Amino acid sequence: MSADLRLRLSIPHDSRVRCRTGSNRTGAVTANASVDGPVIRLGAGMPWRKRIGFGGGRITDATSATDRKPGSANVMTRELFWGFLKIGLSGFGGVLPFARRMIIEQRRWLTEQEFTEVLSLAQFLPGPNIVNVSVIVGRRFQGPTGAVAATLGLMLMPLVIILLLATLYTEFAQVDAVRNACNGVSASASGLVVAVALRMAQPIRRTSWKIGIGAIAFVAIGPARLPLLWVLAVLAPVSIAIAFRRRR
Amino acid sequence: MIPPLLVELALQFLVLSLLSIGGANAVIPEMHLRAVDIEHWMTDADFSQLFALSQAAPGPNVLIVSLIGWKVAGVAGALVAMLAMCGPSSVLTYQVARAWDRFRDAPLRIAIEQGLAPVTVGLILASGYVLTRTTDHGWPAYAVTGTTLLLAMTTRLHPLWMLAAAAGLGALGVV
Repeated sequence: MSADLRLRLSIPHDSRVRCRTGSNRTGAVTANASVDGPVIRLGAGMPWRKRIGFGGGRITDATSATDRKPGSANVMTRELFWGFLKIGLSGFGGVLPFARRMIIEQRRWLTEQEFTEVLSLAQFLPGPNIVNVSVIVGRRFQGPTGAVAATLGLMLMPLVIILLLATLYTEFAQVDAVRNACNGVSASASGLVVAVALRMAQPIRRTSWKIGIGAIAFVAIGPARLPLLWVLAVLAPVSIAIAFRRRR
Repeated sequence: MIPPLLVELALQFLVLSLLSIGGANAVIPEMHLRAVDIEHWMTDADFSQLFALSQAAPGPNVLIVSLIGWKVAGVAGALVAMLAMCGPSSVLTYQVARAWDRFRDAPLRIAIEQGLAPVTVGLILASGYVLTRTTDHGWPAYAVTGTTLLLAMTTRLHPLWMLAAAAGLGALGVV
């Protein structure tokens, strides 16, 4: 679907489509076109050259827009910085939904599929998920410069705002109402964290060994308060080994 | 000469950075353990207030790290803690992203993804547990936590409204 959308956008600009008849036929062309690897196929049987009436060869311009490779991309460092600045400012209690909407729908930097791949990589590697997303997306388009620009953009404003808030808070921490409001927020936010965990548990709840591993991790870190390093050093290899043996 | 406190902050978060599989939320119990019980940088109450602030501000969850740094050593502490928390994991992510496409269908890669998912779920659930134990004193607070959980699971209400309502209840002295 998104391939179609890209094509619709890119043909008039990149390929300089001229219709011989003068009528607006581009809509009809793009509605039938589908991108299939390096080849663009047009529907409805008729030879496309005759059907639409513009020179060959330029169609490849349109494919390059969907088939972006790292380094060959057209998202500038500046765009990465401002884009992630906006992401950083828009999220309350988790930024990922906002990042998804901006990267896929608003700026069209990645397709849905590409974003899902980026996200799964960002999630299983250590580090804050959204920071990892900014590193991967920034790198994809502009290498190290892009990764740094995207991450700086992401963190800059939230960092400034939270330090201002913290300074304000110490100023007013003596006021009972402020301190109590803060207690209310943390009680509520704890519930949000539990909700995140339960939602993440949906895909694993049908597999008994995964439930077992999750339960052990919970008990070890939660009620038992064991050090994370040791828990991970034991649990992660065991869990990966089970997953490896059970693979289809 | 770098103040020893900043070095200590950096060391703690450099380690946490590489342990934070599943993101910042997954290492909240470990941050609590290190900041409150091991290093004695702050009390339980301080920690829960910093957590509340980090949730009430826009931006990623990892911001709680900068607040811990700030509490320990001011603005310099905030920057050091944040850099230490994001640095090692970002470098690792950058390197792995280069090789990622080549291992798209490798069985081991899939096994790592499948195997770490339940660990992550357990860690974040443990975070919820530790936060609830740290922040909730008395049944009104537990009621707020429970109600938020219920609303978040069953409705599409924006979390900000729940936090705002809870702040209001808190300010009125209910929680």
